[in-house]
Amino acid sequence: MNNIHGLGLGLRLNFLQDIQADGFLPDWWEIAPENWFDMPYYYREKFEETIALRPVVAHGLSLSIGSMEPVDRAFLQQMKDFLDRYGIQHYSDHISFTSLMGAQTYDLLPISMTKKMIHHISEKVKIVQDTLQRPLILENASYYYLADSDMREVDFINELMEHSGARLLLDVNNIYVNGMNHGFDPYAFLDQLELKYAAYIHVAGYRKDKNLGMLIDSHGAAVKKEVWKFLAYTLGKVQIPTMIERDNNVPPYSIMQKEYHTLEKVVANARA
Amino acid sequence: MRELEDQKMLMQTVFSPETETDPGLTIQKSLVLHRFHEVISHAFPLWYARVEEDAFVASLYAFMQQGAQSPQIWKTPDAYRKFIHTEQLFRQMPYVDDLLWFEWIEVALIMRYYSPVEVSTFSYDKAYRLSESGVLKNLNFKVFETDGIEQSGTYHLLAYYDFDTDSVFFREISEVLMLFLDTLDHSSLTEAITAIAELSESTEAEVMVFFEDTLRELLALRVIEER
Repeated sequence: MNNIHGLGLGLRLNFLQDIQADGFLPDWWEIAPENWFDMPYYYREKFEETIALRPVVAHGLSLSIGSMEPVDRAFLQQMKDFLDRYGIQHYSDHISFTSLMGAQTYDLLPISMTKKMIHHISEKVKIVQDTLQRPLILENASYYYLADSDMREVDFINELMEHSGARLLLDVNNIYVNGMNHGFDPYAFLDQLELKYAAYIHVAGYRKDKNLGMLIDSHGAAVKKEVWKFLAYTLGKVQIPTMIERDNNVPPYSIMQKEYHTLEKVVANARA
Repeated sequence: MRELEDQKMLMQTVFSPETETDPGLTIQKSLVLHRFHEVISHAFPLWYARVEEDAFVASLYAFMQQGAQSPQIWKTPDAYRKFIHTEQLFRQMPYVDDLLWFEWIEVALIMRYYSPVEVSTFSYDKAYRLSESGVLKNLNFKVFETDGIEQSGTYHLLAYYDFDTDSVFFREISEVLMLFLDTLDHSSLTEAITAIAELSESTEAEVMVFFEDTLRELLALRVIEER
């Protein structure tokens, strides 16, 4: 990731009015491109000013790379136009699916972890990369239902990265949440993950659903202590750009600034 | 193909109103429902306040089953609005189509892209049309007034994006102005004037005088623009 270094922050609509060129800025922004294909008219100028201040990674939700059907080429062209318009070099999405037979879910659904799926996604990755003329980065997703699979998740991701040529967006919160929900050790998972494929790191908050006894990757709360600890462990193994993701219950920019400073400390301590 | 079958099963499950017993599936279902619930209830606050929660959720599941197609979630309320009309849901609320249109058009006008333009001075020698920032609608209910939502009648509404305040304004307009603007949108200014003159048994000169100030204002507001 040639122009992405240091620490990033997800850019949200409600931050725009508080962002100043001479104020606090992260090293880079991550944006959800589908949310910015169209935007309120009065935000457009400010959005363009803001993303000109720092390098940007586009992190999408609607690619649906894991759906067992062809890539939506119209969507892909729309994405390319957007990335080209704003000169965004890096694009990521999730190892999951969000649409099937024309119906969108707007949330990530888990895919079968099988050799056939690896082959299928790898073919789609080639089309995506050829069309976008950019490398594709794929995030290890959180899941609650375990799809019909015959591989362990860590083996699936390693093999997918090797065969597809995609890079990995390493979401440490997702590893932690999946580990707790599905009974594996996140540290052992990380030890077995081929980190040479990792491009950048996500860290986010989760919440506990007490009724169902599962952790939810909500992106709607501050990062938990145990995830900071797990991030520190991760950073001891791989030093790549790292960012905080917050999509729900988004607090004011000033609060995210504080969490960003916590991230700075965790990264500095891990590297000390 | 087991991978595809699993995906079909999962889609059916998350789009089904039936309660799940598996905790993992229950969470996947609730996360998907939350997405739809949030974006649609936020787009239609007036309507959402008037509908029973159970009926609303049932309509969301019905909508999800027929397939929300846009990858851009902000467009989903428009598809939902059309679905409610097509499926003739909530007919016990006869104003539902008008109210959902009224709430949606505000979102649509806010999200629309407007090219920068220099507003020129009005002249009957120039050709005009309704701009992208203005929308006309005939309504059967007075949904644009909070206390009048259930009041039936014939109402002519102009909705437009106001570039000074960056908000959407609604203006109830006369039938004759509605007809004039509607005609203007489909034909020339001259034809619009002629049509109104014939309808009102006035001369074209009288029509021009009658509408001049209004057209001047609408041009300044960018509700109409030069062709």
